[in-house]
This record gives sequence, C-alpha cells and structure tokens, in this order.
Amino acid sequence: MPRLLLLLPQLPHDPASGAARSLRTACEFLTAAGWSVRALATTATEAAGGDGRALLAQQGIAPAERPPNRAIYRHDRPVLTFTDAHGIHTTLLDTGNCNLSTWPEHHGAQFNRLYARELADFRPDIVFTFGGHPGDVERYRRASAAGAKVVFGLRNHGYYEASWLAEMDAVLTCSKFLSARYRERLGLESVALPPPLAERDVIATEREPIFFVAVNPSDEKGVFFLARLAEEIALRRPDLPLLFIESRGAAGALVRAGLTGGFDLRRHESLMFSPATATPAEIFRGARVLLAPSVWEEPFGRVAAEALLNGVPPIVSNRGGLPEAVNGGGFALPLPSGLTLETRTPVPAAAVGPWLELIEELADDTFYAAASTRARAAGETYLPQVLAPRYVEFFERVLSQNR
Amino acid sequence: MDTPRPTLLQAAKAFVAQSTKAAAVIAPLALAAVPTEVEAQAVFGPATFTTASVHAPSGGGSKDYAASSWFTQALAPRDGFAGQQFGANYTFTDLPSTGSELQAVIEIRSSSGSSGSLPKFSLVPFAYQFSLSFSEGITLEYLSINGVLSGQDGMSTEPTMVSGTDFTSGIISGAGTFEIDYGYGDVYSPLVLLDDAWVVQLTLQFSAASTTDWINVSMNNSDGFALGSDTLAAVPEPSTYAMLFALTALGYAAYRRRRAA
Repeated sequence: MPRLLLLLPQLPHDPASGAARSLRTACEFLTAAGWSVRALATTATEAAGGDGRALLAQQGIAPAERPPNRAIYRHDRPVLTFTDAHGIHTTLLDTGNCNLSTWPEHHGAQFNRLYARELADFRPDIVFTFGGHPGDVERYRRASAAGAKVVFGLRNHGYYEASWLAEMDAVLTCSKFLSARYRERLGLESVALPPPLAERDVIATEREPIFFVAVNPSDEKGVFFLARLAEEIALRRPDLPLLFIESRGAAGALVRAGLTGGFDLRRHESLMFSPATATPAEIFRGARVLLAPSVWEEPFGRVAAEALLNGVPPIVSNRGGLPEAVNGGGFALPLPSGLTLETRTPVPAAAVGPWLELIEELADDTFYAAASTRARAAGETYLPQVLAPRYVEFFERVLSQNR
Repeated sequence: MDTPRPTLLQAAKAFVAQSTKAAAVIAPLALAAVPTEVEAQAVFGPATFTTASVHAPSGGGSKDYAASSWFTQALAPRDGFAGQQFGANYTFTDLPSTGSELQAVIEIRSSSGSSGSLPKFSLVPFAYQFSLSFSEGITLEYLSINGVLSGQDGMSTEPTMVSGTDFTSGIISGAGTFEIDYGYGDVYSPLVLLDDAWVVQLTLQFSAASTTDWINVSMNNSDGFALGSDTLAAVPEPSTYAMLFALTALGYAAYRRRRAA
C-alpha cells in the first residue's frame, strides 16, 4: 500500500485557504483508492486572528491533545491528533497565537521533531506539500534525503523566484494557465489538474435562479468594474436583482467605489448584499448568474467552477485562469486594458456594454435555460468521480518514475 | 427548480421574505456601511528619534553621529493617507576610516502614532528632498533610501524608495510610490499598521581621502522625507522649533512647580 504524508505549514481544514482544502481533498481521493495517508500540519490559519482549534470544532472534529513537554523544551506547544472519516491520521502542532509567518521562528524546532518522527516511523513514499518559508524548503530536502518523493502543490503566483522548485520530484498546479506562467517565468515543468471540489459544500440542494451574484467586491476582483456595471444595470434594468456577497471585500467598498465615480449605488432598490457565507452552496441557492470580472490573474478561478456545478452560468473576465475554469460552460468577456489593480475610479459606462448585453440575454428564460444546461454539463469535469481517477493516476505515475 | 418568477426583482424580494435565513442576511445595498475617509486612512505617526553612523567596509570600524537638528510634522490628510514629513541635519566628519565604500547611514523612525490598514498591492506615496555638500576629498558613490512598514501578525513590507548614483546637482529630490507586498502569495489580508509602524533609512556610500573630510546632509525648509504624500510641505524653521521647545520647557517647569507646591 503506497504511503503519502501531507505536510502543510497551516491548518488543512482552513476554509479560507482554497489551496489547503484542495490538497486535503486530493488526499481523500487517494485513501479511497487504497493509499495510506497521514498529515502533519499546524493550527495556523490564513485569516488574521484565525483560531484553528475553533475551526476544527466547527467542523465537528474533537482531537486528542498531547500536552507540551516543558520539562525538556521550554517553548513546547500542545500537539493535537485525530483520524478523520476518510482514515487520514492527522497530527497538528498547536501554534497558539502565532500566525503563518511567525510560527516557524518560535515553534519550528518542535515541528521538525514531529516531522522527523513521521519520516522515520511512517516512511512515506511521497510527501505532498506547499509553502515557501526557508524551513519548508529544508524539510523538502530532508524528505528527499529520507528516500521520499516530494510533490509540490502550486496554487498561486507567489513562487516565481523559487528556483528550489526544480528540486521537486513533481509539481502539481491547478490550471494550464498557471503551468504556462511558471514555464515562462521559471522554466519549471509541471502538471495541471483542476482542483477538486467538495460536492457537499458546493452544490446547493435547492436552487432558485434569481440573483446576478458577484462575490468579494475587492480591488483584485474588479470592484471598480462592478461598481459601474451595477450602476448601469440598475439604471437600464431595475427589474434585475444584483447580490454582492462580502468576503475580504465588503459591500461598503463597492459603494465607495461608486462614490469616487460620482454615483451612489445605495439609491437602487435592486442592489443587495450579504455577508460571507459559510459554504459556497449558500451563495448559489438563489444565484441565477455569477459575475466574476477579476482584474488580477486568478490562478484558476474556483468560484467559476463551483458555479458550473450548480448549473449557474458564470460571466468571467478573460484574465488568468478564469476562461479555463469555465470550461466552455460560461462566458469570458474582456475588461478594459487600462483596468489594473492600481485603478481607483470606476471604468467608463461604455466598458461594461458587452457585459450588460449578456446579462440582459440571461434574464430571458429560454436563453438562460440553455446556458444553465451548458454550465452544468461543463461542471461535470469537476465532479469527484471524474477528477479522483486523474489524481490517483498522477500520484501513481510519480511513484513509478525514476529520480 | 430552475423556473424564474414573473420578474426577477419580485422573486428576489420573495426569496428574502420567505427564507428566514436569507432574510437575516440579505440586505439592500443602502444599508451597507461605507468606510468614512477617516477609517480609510493610513496614519503615519510622528518621527520620534534619529540615529546616524559611518561604517568602514569589512568591519573596519564605525562611528556614531548626533543630529544637529531634526523635525517631524503631520501632513494634511489626502487620498486616504494622513502623512508625515520628517528630516534631520547631520554633518559627518572625523571619519573612522579612509578609502572607498564607506557608508553613512541616517535612520529616522517612529515609535508611536501610526494606525490604519493598507491593502496588499496598494501604493503608498512618498517624497524626498535634501542637499548634500562635502569637502574636496569626498567622492559620492551611491545613494539609497529604504523603508520598513510593519504590520500586525508579523507582516511587513520593506520598499527601496530610491537607489542611484546621480549627485550632479547637490540636491537630491524626487517622489513616487511604493507597493505594499508582504510575500505569502495566498494571503490577501491588508497590512494593519502597528503603532510603531515605520522606519526610513538613507544610505550614502562614498570614498574619503582623509579622516578630516566631511559630508553635510541638510534638510531645511520644504525638505526632508514624506510618507503618505508625494509632495513636501514647508516646515517651520529650526528657530521656530527652538521657540516651541522653549515654550514647552517653560510650561513643564511651571507644571513641576505647581505639583511640588
């Protein structure tokens, strides 16, 4: 039975980290295929002030706790262990108040002791990981020295200077777009597989196709485009409801973006907002169409794939990995070339014209029904039963390849 | 069930009304809390101290220097920033060594008064202007201005604001922006400024023929560094500061006398 160790610098169960969730779900595919999988990670989360223990409790996980051994190690921290429903035995170093960037300095030595034990006792064939802290890189080299192959899960643009990635036995990205970017910038070869999506969290059990929904109205997600689009829709088609789901970007930022352009979005009855939802499924319960005019280059565009699984046609910008993520089941439209992360005023009204026309078409029930059917069909590629064999095949190939 | 209602807005209202859970969370945009200008501002606190030293290369000795005067002044809030302008006057003489690659480093830092947050990849404006004079045995080789902005959770950004070798005019000035980028590609939280958020460091690399050679760095009226603004304001003359300091000292003495009584 092949053995894989999931090694992460943060909580694998952090809902704020799509990367951590993706790697964990991939591990679940492997256990279902008969692999033995263990995980070593920490309770650190990506959200500022996030509480890893509380997140575990919210997910119904009650770990056993090994108290710190301060007789020998003055700064020792508790260690949490549990085995989840998929049979993955997980060891978490409780990093307390430390966050992702500070725990290596304070508790890195203890984490390395736990890691040495996993390498010696579990003897993984593969270490599956991400993280670019110097301590992380040192741990990858220790895995190689111990005879394990190292697979790096590359999910973002943060590693263009990481020449050490060439030492990995395999690099797994979330999109062909990201693989191409790393080939251009770093000469790095990688394999692209769409990130796995957890159906239970993503697919709404009951859905009413009502709202044109945009998630996270922030600079990188195109708040200065959305503000103009909302203004123009509300003026031209006040019968079409728009719903903005808050995340890192708040609805107030959208209103303020409009105010910088001289219009107040608060006067429109058809514009609504909602705080962040606990699961993507809640976003799509009332969603008719997803609007994702991301300005920055999304490595993949997870929310577009989630929309497809719900039969919600996404309209996305043609930047980054978003067009690839819609997989022919949505619409990729251009943004004005001058719209960048530095833009601080809404785009001109003419720039949202093509988006507005498509939105009006999708308000028509006949056109919408066909688009929704196409979306659902395109989303099938993200179903676990379709993706799992591709992931298992990838790891089997890594296992069989020579160094 | 993928059947839309008669009009989508009516359906939306019904959706909100009929779903207890949705009714609790979906609200008109009119109710969104819009950050005020004050909340949106990043405030840079006043400079609280300055140090300077000259280092010889390869551990060849160093010498500390005291500023002949220095200043700090809050700038009028603008474009989401409540900036700070600051500067110091130094004369480096009685050098610790001769030869090339000597480095004079002036550091100005703040220990309190900064607040607010800066989104990742946002741009912070800055400006600088100062004059350099020096003795005949000095050759200026290189100049850089670096900063550190420290935020909560160990996040920090360390911009290089200026680097170059053009000293022809004797007056070094410019303006621009630097980007907030604290690594960690997955993290998009803003940089929440610490109370003691900033440090600015001016480094001058030079060669000296004799230890009696000297360099004067002068930041007078309308000079200095600005953080959170790309323009410098006129600042009170040193004599004005001296008067303000004298008034403060007199007030403090009176306060001590009242307490003692």
